[in-house]
Amino acid sequence: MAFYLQSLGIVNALGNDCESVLRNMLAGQVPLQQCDWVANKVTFIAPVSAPLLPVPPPLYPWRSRNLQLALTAIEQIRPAIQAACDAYGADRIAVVTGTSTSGIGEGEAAIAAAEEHGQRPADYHYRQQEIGNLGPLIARHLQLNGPAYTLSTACSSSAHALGSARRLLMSGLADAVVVGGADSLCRLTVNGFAALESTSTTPAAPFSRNRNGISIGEGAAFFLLTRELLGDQPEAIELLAVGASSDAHHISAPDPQGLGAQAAIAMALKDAGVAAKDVGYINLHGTGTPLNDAMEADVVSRCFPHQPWCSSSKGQIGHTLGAAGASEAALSWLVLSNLNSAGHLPPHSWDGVWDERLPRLKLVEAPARLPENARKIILSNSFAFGGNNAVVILAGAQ
Amino acid sequence: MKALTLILLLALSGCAQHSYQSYRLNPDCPGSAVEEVALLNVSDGNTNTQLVLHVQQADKRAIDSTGEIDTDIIVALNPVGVPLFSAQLQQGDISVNTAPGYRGPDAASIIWAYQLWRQRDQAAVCWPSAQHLQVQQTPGDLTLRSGKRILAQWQAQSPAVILLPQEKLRISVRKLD
Repeated sequence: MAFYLQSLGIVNALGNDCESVLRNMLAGQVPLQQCDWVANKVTFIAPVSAPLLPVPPPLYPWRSRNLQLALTAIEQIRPAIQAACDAYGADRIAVVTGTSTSGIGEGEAAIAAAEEHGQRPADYHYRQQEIGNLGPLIARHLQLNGPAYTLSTACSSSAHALGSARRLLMSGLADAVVVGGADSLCRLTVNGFAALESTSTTPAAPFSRNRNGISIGEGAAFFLLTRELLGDQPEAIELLAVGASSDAHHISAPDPQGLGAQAAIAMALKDAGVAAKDVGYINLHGTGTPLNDAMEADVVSRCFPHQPWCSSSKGQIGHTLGAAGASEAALSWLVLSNLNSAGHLPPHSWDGVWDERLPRLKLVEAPARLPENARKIILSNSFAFGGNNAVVILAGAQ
Repeated sequence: MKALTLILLLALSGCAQHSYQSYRLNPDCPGSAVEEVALLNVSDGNTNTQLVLHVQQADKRAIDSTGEIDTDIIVALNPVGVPLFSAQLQQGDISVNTAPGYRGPDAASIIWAYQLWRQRDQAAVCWPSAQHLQVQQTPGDLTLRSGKRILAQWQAQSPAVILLPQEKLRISVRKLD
């Protein structure tokens, strides 16, 4: 059974549609900005500067920047969703989303107003920041009546959403799934990571000897996932597999041996029915934290001795947290799409100083392309807090 | 006087309600011997609830020491596999256990509607009139009434759908292989 990610809607610091994101990604644009949200510390963030769609009146009670990001991505694939509705009916289309910070920013604004004026704004309600709302709100917006839910497993949320969506199709619980993730910037998250000494004082530089943390970003990416191609000019990009595992090692740090990450990679490869040597490019989790990058370099060099091309997108779009899994799968999707017929690979944005303590990876520094003599297969890693891991494998058209 | 009115109103409202859990299926109603998995989409007009219902016959000896009583077990899960409620159908009686966190439509109503849908061809046998229920069945329509009230309705033109007008529920059923 094939599972097609046939349409993509995307918004992040690189742009607010497929064309602009692909163009700016391949051009090596680094839209990170200095941020003063943490007291006595410089950090960098990757905000979305493009205009976002407003929240429509029926969803206004749940308004949040997170919802705006999601809707901005979703509306880009509405024609494909409509084609699925026409083919299967609204009851048979599910919505599976991933998010982590969700609408915390609206709560922060309400608390700030309360501190200034003595009470929260009358129009603030907790439902604006309720994590579980995103999936059902999108279903309501699109008038879809299939299963609709949200997964929140920190930075792997939307990668796991892809796995969950695939299982809905496998089990026959749905005929099409709107799947992806959204996460918005807010002070709580930036300060939270700063308190863990995980934010970088420079733009994130994954795998650099000088790396000292993450730059947090925001964005959304949503796909239409189906078992067959529908509508006008769908992309025949397959979601081959999603591997999942848990380190059960530490509340925030990854298992330094990377056994959980390795298990997720092995599961994904087995489920996809491909050998490690068939993988042409790896979109690394590559946060820029000392621990993640050390573990990931070790695992990737161990699992992929043929040295496929690798890069991390977090030097460009920041770490989009709950949206990261879907966003980075989306960047991989763009690489495989008809928009990128030459197969150019995303550059690894960093300071160019490899950490010699780590096993060497073949980073995309100069222009590089996917191998042309085989099916184009891309693997994307998401390794989250608490050691929960998700690995997504995509393949270009046969 | 106000208290008397209130009591009267409460009593009337109590009389007006019905509970599917209080109805019994005819024990002679032919059961479904096959295991079955179905996806139910339950809509109250505002929200949709998706349930995966797994029906199986229980091990008779585990239920009854004589090993002679047929028992169907129905387990309802949400789409990611969380158990929401279960039901046991034994000799026409149904007992429903609902998970503490379940906030969806009335579980007993859903189970009864599903049973009616499954046994729609034998509805007249399964729903005895002794319970003040009337079954009206034509080749294209099945209506279950209690007095003048329509409790459940199925029509051949929408074969997957069963309506519970009293609960304002629309339940669509899709068998999964």
